[in-house]
Amino acid sequence: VKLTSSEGTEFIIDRKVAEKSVLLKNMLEDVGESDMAIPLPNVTGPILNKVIDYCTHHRDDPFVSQEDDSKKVSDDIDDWDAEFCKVDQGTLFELILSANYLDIKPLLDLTCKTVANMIKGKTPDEIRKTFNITNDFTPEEEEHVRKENEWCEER
Amino acid sequence: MITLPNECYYEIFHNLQHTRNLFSCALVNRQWCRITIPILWSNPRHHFFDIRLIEILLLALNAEEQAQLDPFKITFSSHPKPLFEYTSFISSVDHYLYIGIRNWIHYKRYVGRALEEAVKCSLIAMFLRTSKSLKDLNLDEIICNPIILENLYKNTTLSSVDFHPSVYISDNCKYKAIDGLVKILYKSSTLISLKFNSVKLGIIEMQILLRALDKNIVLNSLDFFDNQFGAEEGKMLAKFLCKNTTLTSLKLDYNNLGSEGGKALADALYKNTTLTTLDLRLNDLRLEGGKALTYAICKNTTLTSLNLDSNKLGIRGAKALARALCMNSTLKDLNLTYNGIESEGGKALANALYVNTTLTSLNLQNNHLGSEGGKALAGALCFNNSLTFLNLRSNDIELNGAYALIETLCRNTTLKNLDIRDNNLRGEEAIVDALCKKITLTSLNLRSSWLGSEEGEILANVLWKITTLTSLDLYDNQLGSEGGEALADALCSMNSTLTSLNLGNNVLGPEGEIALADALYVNSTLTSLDLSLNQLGSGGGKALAGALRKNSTLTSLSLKENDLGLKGGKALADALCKNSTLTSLDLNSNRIGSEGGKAFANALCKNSTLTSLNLNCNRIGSEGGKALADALCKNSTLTSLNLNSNELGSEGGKAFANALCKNSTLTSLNLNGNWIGSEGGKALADALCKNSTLTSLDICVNKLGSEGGKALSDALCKNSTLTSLYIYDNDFDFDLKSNNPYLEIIQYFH
Repeated sequence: VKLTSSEGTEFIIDRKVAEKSVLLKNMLEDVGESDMAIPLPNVTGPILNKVIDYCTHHRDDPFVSQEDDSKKVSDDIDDWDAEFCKVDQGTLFELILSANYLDIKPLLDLTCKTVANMIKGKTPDEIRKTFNITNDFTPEEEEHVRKENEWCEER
Repeated sequence: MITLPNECYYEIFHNLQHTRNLFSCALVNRQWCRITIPILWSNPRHHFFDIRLIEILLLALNAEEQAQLDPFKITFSSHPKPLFEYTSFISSVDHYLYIGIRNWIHYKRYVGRALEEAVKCSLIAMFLRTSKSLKDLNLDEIICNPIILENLYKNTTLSSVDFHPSVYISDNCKYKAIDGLVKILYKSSTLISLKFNSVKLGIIEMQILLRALDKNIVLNSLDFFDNQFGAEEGKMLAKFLCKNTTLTSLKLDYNNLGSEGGKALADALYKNTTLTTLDLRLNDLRLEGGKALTYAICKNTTLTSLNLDSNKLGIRGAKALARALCMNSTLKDLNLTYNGIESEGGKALANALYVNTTLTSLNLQNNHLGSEGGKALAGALCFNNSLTFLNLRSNDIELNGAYALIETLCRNTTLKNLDIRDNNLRGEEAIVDALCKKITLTSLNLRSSWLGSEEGEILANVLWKITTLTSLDLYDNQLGSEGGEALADALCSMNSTLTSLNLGNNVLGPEGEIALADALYVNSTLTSLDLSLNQLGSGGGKALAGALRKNSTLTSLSLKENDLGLKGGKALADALCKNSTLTSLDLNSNRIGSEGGKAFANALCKNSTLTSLNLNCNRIGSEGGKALADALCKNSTLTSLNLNSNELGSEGGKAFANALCKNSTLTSLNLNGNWIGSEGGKALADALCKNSTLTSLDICVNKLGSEGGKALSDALCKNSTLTSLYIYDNDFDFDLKSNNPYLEIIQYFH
């Protein structure tokens, strides 16, 4: 199967690897065998490269249904996956976007868990610093949100 | 930050588990707030306890609902209208809400049951009115209130109602509740599950209910836990089941159906083709009722789960069931706990397992199966490859029976879970042997397992066979020095995967210790070792110290309560000057004394890897304390130091205050119980104004007095890094306060 990234770089991968993506799987089923490259205008080359790495490593994993994975907790990331996620924040978010676009549920889970782990235990201010987010609350609003939800902080 | 589509944020936030994390996210910015609030509110569960939540819920009442509370002259908090319609996100309201309401009333110092009922009623009515996602609702007698019934009737989101009244419910109220629920059953297209939890429904109510259910084609789950049903109700339900084609789960546990009721239900199972789960636990079915059911499951092909726990089926009942299991090929889950099956019944069931290929879970707990029954089942398991769960707990199985089972375990690859607790198994060799063959085992926990030195040796002998084992916990056994030596041998010669070993509380004594220390010279995988409570004495300490000079893999070592004394302590401190891998050392309660303290002070000047040191209860005194404090001025790696109960006194306290002004790595310091007094307290308070790294400080039980307390109170205005301060028992009678929202001050001992 041939894929082209947004800059036009061509990637040739196994059909089995490509089918980890539900989007590609459905496309391939629709068009059948073909030499035509599938354009992926939303994914850059380096990111596509990472995604292919992931799909190649997990090519033989069984397909996990929606209900099963709801039980998983975000601590159970295996070593390869943890290593795979050791990338800069920009890349990590690009990976989330691509996993979402290409519909690769396990990769989306993994990357989202990684981001969740970055959030855990941090104060709002620390979270803003970590992800470079500006606080657009008015002071009153912030106070309201705090007051109305402070019950979730266990005493 | 790259902006993500909302669905990705949902995915991320759903992984946060703790509401505290979600709360932080809600305060980040508007977008994050909008996404997290619905998750935060979807299932508050035990947070319903919290009066702060109840207050916010009360703000959501409309005028009509508020009017219900008017007669009680309630003062509402002056908070403006909430930012969100929070209650529309709630998916489940459980009994915690009722406790929360009671807490709130208590907190507000209101009284009276009438008020409690009114608050309950107004809140539930509000939930039902604002509901967009409400699925599960737990209701007590409040269900009889016409306002609630009216709102229930109008609601279109509920899928499950759990009716769980108090024991004081009146017959009139029961009738009203059933009457109301029936109206809903005639109309609702969403309600799929109904639970009558200890309602003690009468015959008339059952008639009304079942008449409505005959017409209903939505409900699939019905639960009558503890309703004192007898044969009569059993027959009514059987009649209903013959016609019904939507119900998949019926629970009748803890009733009194008896053989007659059981027979009626069995008859229904010939006709019914939709029920998959039937729970008849504790119904006194006896042999007759049990037999009727077994005939029925020979023919029935839909039931997958049957619970016959505690029904006095006896040996003959078990034999009949065994015959049925040879015919049936749909049942997956069978519970026969506490039925007096004995070894004869056990053998019959074992024979059935040679033929049956569908059953995946079988519970035979408390049945006096004995070793004979156990062996028969073991034989069957060599052939059976569908069973994944088997419970044989408390069955008088002796060692030879267990051997057979464990031998089977090694061959059988489908069984995932075998419970053989509480049988007469002396000598754990069989278990140990079997475990080492289960090649995927990575962690073995044998805490408090009554293992003696003999078992310790056996364990050591098989350790090397388990090539996947990384963690072994043997805390609180009686391994003794021989067991310790055997394990030490295993550690240096064979096993090379173990990284964590806990041998705490095992009477290892100096000999066992010396052997283990020798092993540490050779072993290069172990990173964590716990030898607490082993009476090692100074000799054991010295041996370990020697090993630490050479070993370069161990990062964590606990030698808590080992009577190491000055000599043992000093040897370890000297070793620390050479060692550069250990990061955590626990020497709690070892009487190393003032000189020992000085030795560690010297070590801290040279060592630059240790991050955590626990010297709790070591009689270090003010001189030793001063030396340690001076060392902290030079050391820049230690992050946590525990000097609880060391008689440091005022001088020691001042020395640590001075150290805190200079040190900028320590984050946690424990000076609990050290007679620091008001002068020392003032010095520490001054230090807190300058220090900006310490996050946790424990200075409880130090006689700081009101002067010390006052100084600390002032210091807390300036310090903004501390997040926990433990300060109870210090002889002052005012509460410490701080503007820092992240600081938790623990001023009272619970």
